[in-house]
Amino acid sequence: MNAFTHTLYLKNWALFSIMSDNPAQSEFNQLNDLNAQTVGAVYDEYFHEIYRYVLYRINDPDLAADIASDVFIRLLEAVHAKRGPTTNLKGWLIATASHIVTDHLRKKYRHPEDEIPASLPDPEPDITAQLDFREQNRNVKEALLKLTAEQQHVLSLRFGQGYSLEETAYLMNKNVNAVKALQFRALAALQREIGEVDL
Amino acid sequence: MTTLFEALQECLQEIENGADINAALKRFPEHAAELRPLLKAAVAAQRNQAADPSPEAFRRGRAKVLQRAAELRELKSAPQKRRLPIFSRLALSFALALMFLLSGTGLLSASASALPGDRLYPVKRGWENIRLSLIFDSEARSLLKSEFENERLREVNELLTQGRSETVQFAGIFLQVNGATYVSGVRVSVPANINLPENGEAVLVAGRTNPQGFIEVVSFEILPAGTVAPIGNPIQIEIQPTLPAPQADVTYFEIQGILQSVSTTSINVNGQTVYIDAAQITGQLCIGLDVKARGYYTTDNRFIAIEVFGKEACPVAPPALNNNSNDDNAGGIENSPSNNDNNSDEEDDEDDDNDNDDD
Repeated sequence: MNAFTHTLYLKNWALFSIMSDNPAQSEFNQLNDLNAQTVGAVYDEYFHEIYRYVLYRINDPDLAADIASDVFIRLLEAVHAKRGPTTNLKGWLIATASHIVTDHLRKKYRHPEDEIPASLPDPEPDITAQLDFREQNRNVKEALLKLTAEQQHVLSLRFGQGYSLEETAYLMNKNVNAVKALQFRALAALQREIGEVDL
Repeated sequence: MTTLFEALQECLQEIENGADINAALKRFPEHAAELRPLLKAAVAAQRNQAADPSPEAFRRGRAKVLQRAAELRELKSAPQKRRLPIFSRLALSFALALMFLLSGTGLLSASASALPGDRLYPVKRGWENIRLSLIFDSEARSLLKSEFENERLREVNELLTQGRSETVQFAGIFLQVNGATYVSGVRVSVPANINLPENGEAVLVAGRTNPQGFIEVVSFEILPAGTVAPIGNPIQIEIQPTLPAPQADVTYFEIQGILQSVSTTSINVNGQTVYIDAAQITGQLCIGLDVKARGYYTTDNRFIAIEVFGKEACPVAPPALNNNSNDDNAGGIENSPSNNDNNSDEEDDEDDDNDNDDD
């Protein structure tokens, strides 16, 4: 019951904080105690979003789950060290996830492993359309990796997460016009990588 | 360009709301060619949306995060070591530095008598270095330096007097005498594997004082020639006679014979070596002329003269040695005057011959 109200409270607050810069300070104070209920509520609230964001960029479900939970552990450590977010929890989580992913990709780029690309879900007894779709997905994922970290970030937020322009701007801590330009360049770069798309 | 960005955003918005690409582009015919591929890429990017995590991955991550939260809570509740905040620490060190500066002379005078191994000794040496670094006049500087070198030697002597065992380093003059080794009057014991410096060389000694009153040397560093090193206390040199002292019940003998050779320590009389180190020599020792020596025999049969009587003056041209004379008398003891007289007669003859030749 208590946990539920917590979640509800956080949800409300998250919406609130996304729309305004007015911090809900008491929520952060609760997080400062690092008690299991608050931490669990934050995890439940944001894990899926963070996981999807990470998976969108690295395309490895196991690794994505690891990285996503690492994001929350970093949050705990930052709060413990009094360096935690004070205004924008989701933005902080997304930014941290973005850093970890970028870091991981850079390491992987420096030490490339000859690994088999992570397999997609088991093929269902279905049609060629699905095969095409998978093929195209793989193209997009591979193409994404060739963009700059910021371009990957904006595309993940806008199209991977489906965040609105305003929400994306808020999470990236940029103004709306900057994000418009950024998404234009990112899409142009992506289009160059995947070529003409049949829709 | 802004309009192009705007147009893209408008189209994306419409597609999000359910329109297809062509419908969305209708509003911007002038940008259609440019925007179409971007919108297609956007749709492809959207289709790429990631799946949700498996419930198992979700639970695993949750457990991991909660575990870490518990650990951190534990850390937080553990009593933290009280630490001075940065500002107080800074203030404290300033206060100490100020105290040191103001009461500097007190502390320094306290340290003046410190010996190696004392707590204040580093203060003393530090202050010496500061003084040296503040002097720019080279003469005054070397004077101060030698003063400090003397201080090192004084410290070593003090340590030895107190019977303390400390690591020391000091400069001095090496001297090997009386069968022992010294550096500026301080007895040093040198391990066999270290080469001894020459007597009178300035050396830098590293070693340990020991309670027996000498220094166990760890290393010698020969200082360049001309280095001024403290001389220290003079060493009482015990004169060790190189020859054994005559015993009380010694029997004296007298040898007389032809002097065949002379070296700094001995003479040869009729083939008998006579050591003259301790002898009182009267007159001149002339090779080829007779000589008388009084002395005694040592246990190893060396004849040690205590008195040697030579001629009043040697002839101008020393007579050539007659080898035959050796055969006549092999070191006659208790005299054999007749033989010697004969020899001297012969030599006198030869002497005359020589004179004639010269004429």
